[in-house]
Amino acid sequence: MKIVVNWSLCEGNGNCEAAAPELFQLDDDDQLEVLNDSPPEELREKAEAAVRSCPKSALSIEE
Amino acid sequence: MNAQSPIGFSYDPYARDVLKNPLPYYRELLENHPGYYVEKYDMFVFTRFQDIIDVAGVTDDNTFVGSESTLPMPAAITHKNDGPPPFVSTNPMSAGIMLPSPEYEEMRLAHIKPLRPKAVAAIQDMVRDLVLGRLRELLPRGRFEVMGEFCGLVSAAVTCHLFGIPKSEAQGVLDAVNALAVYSDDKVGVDTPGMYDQLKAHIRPAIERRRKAGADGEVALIDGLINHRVKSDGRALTDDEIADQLVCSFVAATETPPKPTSQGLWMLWQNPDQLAEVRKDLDANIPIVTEEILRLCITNQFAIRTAHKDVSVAGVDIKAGQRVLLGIYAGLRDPREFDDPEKFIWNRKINRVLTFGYGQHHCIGNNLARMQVRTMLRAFLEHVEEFEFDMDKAVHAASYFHWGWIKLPVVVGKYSI
Repeated sequence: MKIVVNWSLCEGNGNCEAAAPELFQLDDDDQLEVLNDSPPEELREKAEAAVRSCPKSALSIEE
Repeated sequence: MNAQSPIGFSYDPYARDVLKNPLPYYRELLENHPGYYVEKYDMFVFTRFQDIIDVAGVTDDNTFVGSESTLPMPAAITHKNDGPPPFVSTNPMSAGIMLPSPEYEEMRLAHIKPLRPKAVAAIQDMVRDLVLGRLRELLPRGRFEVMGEFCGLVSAAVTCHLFGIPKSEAQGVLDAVNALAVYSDDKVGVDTPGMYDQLKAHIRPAIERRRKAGADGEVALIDGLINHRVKSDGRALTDDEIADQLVCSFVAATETPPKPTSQGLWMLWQNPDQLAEVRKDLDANIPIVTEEILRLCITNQFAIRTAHKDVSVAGVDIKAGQRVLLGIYAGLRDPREFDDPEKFIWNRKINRVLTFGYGQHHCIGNNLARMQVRTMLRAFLEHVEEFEFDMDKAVHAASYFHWGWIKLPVVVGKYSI
């Protein structure tokens, strides 16, 4: 599983951080940092929740 | 496959009966007409929550663009496009909401900094002070109009802050924005080009002021655009181009937060048991009730896009040049997404939010709007123990993109401030 960010769409709303803090974090300037773009299987549910939570449709998962 | 309009039901988003009360139409569209086709505008109407997400979620390759405006006057879309219409100009740079990618995203990111979560959190105390200042002036009167006199002036002052305009000009900003939203039986829409010219007259002096001050980033909304260099050719933007990027934020920041805030208070007043529950722990409950208020108490109805490519989405084959209407107000009342959707339930479980749209055009000011609504609700409920709305004097109005109360007079009983 690989997390893909469409950087032209991401605006740092932080919904993904709320859904999966293990995987996403906003820095002090509200820029998104992906903490782990190849998360283990046990974080799949959270990763999928993060993808769903993005209001910009900027996140996806590639298998 | 085009969804056929069955006999006995027809929906035109601009029709007088629809403007008077769109709710029965939305119920029928939600229940029986996904991807409803309106011949007159060569447009598909989507009202189901998931369909709106699916259509607005098509964010690649300029499939859908606001190229004919996202809120066109009806006359602007009664012609059939023969294939995709031309993109708007990017030199000079057209108004942000009409731009195609990549310029659309480029212009947004050039001025988004003060609207991001931490930047918004940083001005919350300032907003709270503005709110308390308004309440100190209004509460002793015993009676005032919540939408304009309370919320409107707070939001207008926040707009002033964002644009580096003295807060003493808040009333002028509010009046300028409200002047555009004069509703009448003969006027179903807003003349967008005319609106841009009027509002740019307010925004241009703010840009000039920032240029003189050196655009050091203090007023990041404007400074970001002054300092931006267009990626395709490296040029700086003119004041007029900058103003064109900011009109939408100027209007939305001023007129949007007051509507859910005041209608939310009205909703709570009608549901005293729920109001009592919310009051039990304002710190914990305001963020929760705010989400239900943002679901049920907004007034904007829909947004429109034009297809620039053939695409099959939400069960409909759409041809380049055809239009789609994203029925957000209806989608927020979709029983597939929400149980008993028209009922206000302050602590309802809300899995997904559509209030601010979705995808490419998702509201750039969503963090600021949410913070303002929470701050105004919190302060009002904290300081006003007893209140009731005078609905005989309330004013309800409709245009095609707003439907709801525009004046909500409140009578205040016991308060402390």
